[in-house]
Amino acid sequence: MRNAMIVGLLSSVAFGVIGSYVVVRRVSYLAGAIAHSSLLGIGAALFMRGRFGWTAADPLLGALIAALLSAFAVWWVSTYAKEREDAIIGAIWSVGMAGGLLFLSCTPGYVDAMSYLFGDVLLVGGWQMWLVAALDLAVLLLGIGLYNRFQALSFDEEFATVRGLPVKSTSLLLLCMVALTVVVLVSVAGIVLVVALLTLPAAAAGRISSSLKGMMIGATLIGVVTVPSGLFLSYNWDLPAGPLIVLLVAIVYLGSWLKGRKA
Amino acid sequence: MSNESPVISIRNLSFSYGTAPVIENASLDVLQGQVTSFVGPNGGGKTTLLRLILGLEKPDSGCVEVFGCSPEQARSRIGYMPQHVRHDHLFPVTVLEVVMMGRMGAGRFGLGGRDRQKSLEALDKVGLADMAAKQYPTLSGGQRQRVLMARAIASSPELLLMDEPTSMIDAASQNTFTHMIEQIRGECGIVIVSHDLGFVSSIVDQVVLVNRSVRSCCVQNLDSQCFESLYGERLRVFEHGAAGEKEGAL
Repeated sequence: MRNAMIVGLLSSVAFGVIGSYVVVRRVSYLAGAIAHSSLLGIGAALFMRGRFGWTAADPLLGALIAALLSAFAVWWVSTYAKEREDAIIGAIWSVGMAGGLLFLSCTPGYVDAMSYLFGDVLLVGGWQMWLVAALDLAVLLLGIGLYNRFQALSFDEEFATVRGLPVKSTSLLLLCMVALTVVVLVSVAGIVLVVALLTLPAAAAGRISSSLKGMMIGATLIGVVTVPSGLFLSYNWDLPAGPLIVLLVAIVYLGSWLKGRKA
Repeated sequence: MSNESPVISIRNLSFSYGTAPVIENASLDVLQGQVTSFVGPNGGGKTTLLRLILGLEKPDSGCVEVFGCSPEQARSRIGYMPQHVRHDHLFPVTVLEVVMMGRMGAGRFGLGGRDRQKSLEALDKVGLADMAAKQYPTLSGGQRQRVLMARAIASSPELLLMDEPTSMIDAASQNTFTHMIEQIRGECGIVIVSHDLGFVSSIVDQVVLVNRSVRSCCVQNLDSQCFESLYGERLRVFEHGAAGEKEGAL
């Protein structure tokens, strides 16, 4: 529980910063595809561990590799596919899940797919806290160091191209950071619910803040409040934490509609 | 400022979207210090020609050179004002931040005080100095166009490309726009895409008629025949500075 709290708080920073970029760049369905297809990596890792006894095959490591590969695929499609981009992204989304589910069903012994799909705080081990902290640091350094670039790219990609910014590589970098964030959040919310954590706090903060920076800070604060509250309720009511956190975040988002009509 | 070297040099350029030809065998020079306007009917290829000059589209055949280099190499010296920006309508960004994006460039990771100063000056030139702290999405269409104009000139470009800069701007702001062009002409080559020749003819040196083919004329030599060849029908021609109007090509 203590580990889960720390991971939840740390990950709030990552999803506040990256979620804000996802929302203003309007790529939440790309984030969805990256998140869902990471099940392929989780399934493959558990399969290798169960069938061949490879203890190095950690599900989180598998998720990381699959999410990064899928970020690359999604980036390639959204950059170079001339037509039906959304259909191909949708295919990456479900093919990744299908592959993951098949791996899980071929894995000997009992594997609880639910815990990966919807999150399970008990999955959070001590070393994962360090992983989350390292990913946080990477996300913060890049997300804040390249703030002006990501802002220009998200606001007007064509203009950024004309200004000579490396639009394609910056766009790929952003999707890779989404992949890292998704992996951080898998243990908290699970891959199905992760998109809500990326988008809802940022969207809520965006309704009341006047800058992208403010949106990131606001989204992080929303996470800092809702994630521990969800974990606390989950512990007391014996309900899964992921769905509780997502519902809390959704309530905050609805609240921002009532409160924050921007002038 | 020398009028000799072409800023933009286009030779035998053809471009099509799939099988539909948009520009056919176009050749054109835009000279330093000149104000040029691309005019023509909707779908005639004006914006496409601008995108080819920016290197956002690749020609099927022929070549485009800007400052004697490829468009990609020349981009950092070009200021570009698109007709509009399809951004997230809730994007939390101030007017000043949008203009400062015009100061970004290859190899630049952050922006500083000088970028801020130049951006404020650009805002002043388009008459929006008091709007710097406003949220960009809350502005009117015409105000947004002027912000995009400021963003284009914030980098002190040597070539300024503007796509329908006055389409949403009211009469008073058109004067601001004309004044701004007068201020910066001579410092850079300027290309204005416009469907409103009546407006631009008072400030341009060269008019380029774009309707799949490309034909350039000196603004003094424009006559109704030019327009008939362009639009394929008789048009009413308004003479600038004259009291009345005359019927074209009787």
